[in-house]
Amino acid sequence: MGRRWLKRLILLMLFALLAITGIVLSVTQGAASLTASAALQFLLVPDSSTMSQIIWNIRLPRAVTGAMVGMNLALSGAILQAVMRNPLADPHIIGISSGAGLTGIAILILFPAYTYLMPAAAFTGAMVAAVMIYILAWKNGIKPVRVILAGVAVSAFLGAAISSLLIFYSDRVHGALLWMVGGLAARSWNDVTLIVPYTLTGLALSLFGASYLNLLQLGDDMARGLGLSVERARLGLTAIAALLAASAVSVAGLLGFVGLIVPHMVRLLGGTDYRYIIPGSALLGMAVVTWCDTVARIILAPVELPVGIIMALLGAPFFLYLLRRDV
Amino acid sequence: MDTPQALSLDHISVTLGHVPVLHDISLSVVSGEFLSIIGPNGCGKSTLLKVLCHMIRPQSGQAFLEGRPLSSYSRRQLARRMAILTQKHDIPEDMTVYELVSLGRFPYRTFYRRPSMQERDIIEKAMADAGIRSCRDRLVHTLSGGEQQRAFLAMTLAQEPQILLLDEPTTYLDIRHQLDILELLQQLNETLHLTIVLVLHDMNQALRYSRRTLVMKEGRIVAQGRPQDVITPEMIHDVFSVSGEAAVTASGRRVLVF
Repeated sequence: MGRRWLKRLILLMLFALLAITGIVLSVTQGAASLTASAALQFLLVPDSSTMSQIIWNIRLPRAVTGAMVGMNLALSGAILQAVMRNPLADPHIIGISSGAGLTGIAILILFPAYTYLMPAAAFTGAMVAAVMIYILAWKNGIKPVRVILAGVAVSAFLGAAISSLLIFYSDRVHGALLWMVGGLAARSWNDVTLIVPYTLTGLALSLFGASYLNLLQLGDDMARGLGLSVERARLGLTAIAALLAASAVSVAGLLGFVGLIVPHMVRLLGGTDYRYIIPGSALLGMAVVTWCDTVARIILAPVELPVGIIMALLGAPFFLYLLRRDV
Repeated sequence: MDTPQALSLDHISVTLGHVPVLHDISLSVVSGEFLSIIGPNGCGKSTLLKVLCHMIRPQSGQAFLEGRPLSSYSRRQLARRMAILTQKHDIPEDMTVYELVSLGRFPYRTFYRRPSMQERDIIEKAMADAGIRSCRDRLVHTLSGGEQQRAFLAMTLAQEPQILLLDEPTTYLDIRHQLDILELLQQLNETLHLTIVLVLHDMNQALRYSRRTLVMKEGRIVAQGRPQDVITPEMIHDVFSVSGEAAVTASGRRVLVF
């Protein structure tokens, strides 16, 4: 283990620390704030007090949901950037999110009674969008530019469908609108249980896929020469990315930029080896969303901003910085 | 039959897009040989190499490795038997030589923990064989062209292949490094009994290093045999449409002069 891995290990510990403080802040800070030790006491020994109720039924599920959403989006982006061989790939730009968004909004607006089917529907939408983009971009192999162009086209197409839904059913739009901006307001233990299985499966598969992602980064011919079945690996990894993105979208709506910026931050800090990028993105994704959500809750308290707004405010400038830097 | 066939092609034809690239090619590569493929740009040399390593599937005809159809092997199984050094590489800027070479062990990766000492020995030996061991912790991007080529060669050696395919391994190198690489390949061919198939541009290098030469033109094999029999002024005129002269140097080597 060289100095590089020592640095990476330190970075991973730092990300983990940020994630933990993010979750702690998310639980302790808010309209009614309290100290970490008091919060810990309420957590360990729940009683019937209002504060205990707030912690257990409002803040904790929200913090956990936020952490998982952040992790899933960041992992999804990290995977897609290697699979599509494109630094600009993320679940949004690639159209996977709008696929999940369209089916999600369709459920919310057209079949509100079946809201519990959201993750499945969002996953189907994400997967269909991913496969569509893959097919559109495939011509004797995958070219990064074609993927982005196909992704933008599919996104625009699905966006038009989403807009039409919103216009034709303008009376039912309110819930859908909030969902589209992306937010963690009023997340409950239901949301946690909804995405836990997807999150754990996705995380395990991503960690397992790290060495495949390393090979895919080298280009198709070299990966094949080294014994990787490129098409099969791409399809499998895209499915994992879609699963992760879809589970995040189904509870937090179309949350922007986490999937793009977090993997890049991780990469800029510690290098391109996916055995480091995957755990790094998972931890930093948790940190970014929990921190941003806490900021969104307290900056204009008692009014609460959707976390998506804070994230986009921070994400867009960083994206432009990357664009100027080395793409 | 004391010369087992490593690779063979049986009436292969390939069309890429709508352009026919290879026409009815039959070829057998004998285990342990050093075969060079020459021909003008666009004659299908690289495509032929890609058919040999199953990266391009021919529209008709069959390819065999050790007597079994190439398509009956998994990518992993193929990568353990043959390695290919392509022309273009695109690797992350922060990759070290050691990391690159250790990628060659990918086809041997298993779910359970591997005996890492042994793996490390193989990687070290591959670097030593390719003469790049002194650069093991340097970034591949900071190496010179010749050193980079050696690093990639070490990666293919770490695959422990029986067959090594190379697509113009000497392009972009200066003459000293070109000869270095070819000497190295010759040495690997002799000491490790590695079967080597390489695409070459320089006919004098094909004359000097390979033991068999295959000449291609417009997707067909137009001549094959011992380099000194095949690489003649007449062939050069037919295939490349340039006139050359054969000469013998003071040390007795045959060369072509254009």
